[in-house]
Amino acid sequence: MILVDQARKTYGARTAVDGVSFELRSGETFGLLGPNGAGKTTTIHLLAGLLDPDGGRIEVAGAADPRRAEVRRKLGLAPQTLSLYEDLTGAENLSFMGRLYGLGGGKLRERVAWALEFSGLAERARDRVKTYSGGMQRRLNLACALIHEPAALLLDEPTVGVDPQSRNRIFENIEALKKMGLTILYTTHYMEEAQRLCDRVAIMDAGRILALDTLSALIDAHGGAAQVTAEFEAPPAGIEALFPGGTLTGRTLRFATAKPLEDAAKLAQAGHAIRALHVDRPDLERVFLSLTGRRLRDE
Amino acid sequence: MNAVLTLAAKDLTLLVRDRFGLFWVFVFPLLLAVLFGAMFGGESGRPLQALPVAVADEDASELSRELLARLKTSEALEIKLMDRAAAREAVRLGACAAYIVVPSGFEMQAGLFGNETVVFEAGIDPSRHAEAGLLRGLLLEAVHALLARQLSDRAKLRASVEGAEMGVRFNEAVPQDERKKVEIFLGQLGTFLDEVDPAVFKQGAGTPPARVEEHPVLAAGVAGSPFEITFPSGMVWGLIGCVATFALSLARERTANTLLRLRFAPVGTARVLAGKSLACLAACLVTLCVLAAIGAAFFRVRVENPGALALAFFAAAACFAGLMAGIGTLGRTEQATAGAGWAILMVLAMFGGAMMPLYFMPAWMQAVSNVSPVKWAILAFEGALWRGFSMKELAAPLVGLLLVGAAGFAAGVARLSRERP
Repeated sequence: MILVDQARKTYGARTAVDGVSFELRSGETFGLLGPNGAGKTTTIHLLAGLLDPDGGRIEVAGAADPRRAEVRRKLGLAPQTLSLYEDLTGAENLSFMGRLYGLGGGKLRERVAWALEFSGLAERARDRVKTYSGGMQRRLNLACALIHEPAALLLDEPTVGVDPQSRNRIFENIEALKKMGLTILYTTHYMEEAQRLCDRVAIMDAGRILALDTLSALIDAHGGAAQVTAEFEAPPAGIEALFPGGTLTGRTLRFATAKPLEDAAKLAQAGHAIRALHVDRPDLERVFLSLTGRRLRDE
Repeated sequence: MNAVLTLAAKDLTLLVRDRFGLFWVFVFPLLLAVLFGAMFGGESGRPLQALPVAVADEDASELSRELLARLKTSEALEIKLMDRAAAREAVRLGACAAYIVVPSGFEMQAGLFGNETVVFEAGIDPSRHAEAGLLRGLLLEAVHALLARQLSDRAKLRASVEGAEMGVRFNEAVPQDERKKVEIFLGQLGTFLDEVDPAVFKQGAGTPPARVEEHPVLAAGVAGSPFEITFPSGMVWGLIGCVATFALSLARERTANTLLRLRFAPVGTARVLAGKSLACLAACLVTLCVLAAIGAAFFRVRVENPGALALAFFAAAACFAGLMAGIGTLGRTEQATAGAGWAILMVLAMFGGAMMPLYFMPAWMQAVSNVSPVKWAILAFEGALWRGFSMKELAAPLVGLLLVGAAGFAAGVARLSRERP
């Protein structure tokens, strides 16, 4: 559906996107995970044809130029910054966007009704957007990208600045879109979102893709072992010898393992009284830390 | 075309919901036209507010009192009598625009045989120099009228001749022979004055040597209301209000990020800008029509050629809609666009004659005004409203306006196409 091959984009001396390559398969949800300034939004703009790449190749639906009108009709874009007319109502915003994509008459009315229902804004359809909450505006921003039934959706940090309840609502919307078979490119700097929504994830930093695979494959490859921390009632002499690489500091034992549950059982069987046990499983945060030496939200 | 109409409809909806924008587009130009109309002409159509002039009559003669009486009959002057010092002070303090001193000996010198030029001392407020010529003309006109009347008054002329005869007779500085000749001449003149038919005398001596007769230069006569002069300027201010409002709305699209969505939509940059320009053009046309209707209904603004006026309105609206496209893409923020927009529009208005009449400007400014579409728009409006322009005469300003509009639109499209999110 979407192919990006060695795409490059520079702004003066700064390289925003540096040889990025990936492919979105039809119907999958693909995540671009990285901190602010990683190059995610620039990549989206390259895909949308809003920026011209300085090098590399971009194909959308088999066409090399994403600026072509027939290509644009197959794409939906929900920009990171809200792009709504605050003095128009929710229905008017949707209707306006639909008309720009050539919809009219009964089809337009049908799509506007669907989009309002989908975003949970049917009851506020006649209210001006400036009276909406931040979460409602986010949902309308997403609905505007869907009004023309695109085959692929570009979502640029769709949950920025919304409360947890609205965020959940957006997740549910995106999961519904996945079930509908939409191809989705999802950028975020929240690893929880990528873990929950994405079939495959590309880890991006400083304009480059550092790793790209399914969630489990990324964790297996770069997440490292689980970290087990056990605190005993009394210091257990020589227990660290049972776990390769384990260290005992006072009454606290730390070790890394690929089988945390089995090793926890082994600890219990050793007969020492345990006050606390903590298992730190590898996740995308650990993957990012492993790849860059920094935490994802240090930025 | 549907996309352009959709974009234009959206912008017009937003304009209608923006009360502040509506004020600049519709109310502000109407206020300007009415205010300037009232300033320049008032309700009665009189040309100017009377000029307050302090007069010190140091001759205090019958003739000087007649002069003052004659000056007081002028609607252009408001005569205030006072002494010389007070008159000067009144001008210095700005209470009067000018002062005049009627010199002592005015009556004597102004007679038939006065041997010195009468000199009136006058002082003008430095800020009112434009009216100095008017005052000078009115004063000399009054003096000449008085002298002409004196020449048609047999008794006064006879007394003047006798006075001159007495003066010559006892003037030792004049040689005896010369005095004799003058006395003979004055004696014969006295006899002539005594014997001539009074009706013939009055006709002959009283006829002024010249007078000015005004003829209409326009087919429909002189502009009937001062608002006919100010409404075209008001209409241009309406256009400027539209340009500023829509240029700002384009900048707002950028800062509110809606421009990004428009540019992503399958319509193209030119059509995005065409939509906004079309909305601006429609708003301009509505503004112009509303102002013309109000002017015709309430301010006696004649519409001499409605067809030509429709063409002038369209050309001016297209011109300013195109300018809006160029100005709206100048800045990346609302503040930058507003600053650049008003700076450009103010210069165009100033040089185009929308702020003050072109004839007030020095020659070089009048030459520069030829590049301002504001001047062409005012000329086209006046031409269609009351100057009686033929279509051929109207063609030059209309074509100029359309070319400027096209250039502004092309510049806007070029700038917006180069712009990156």
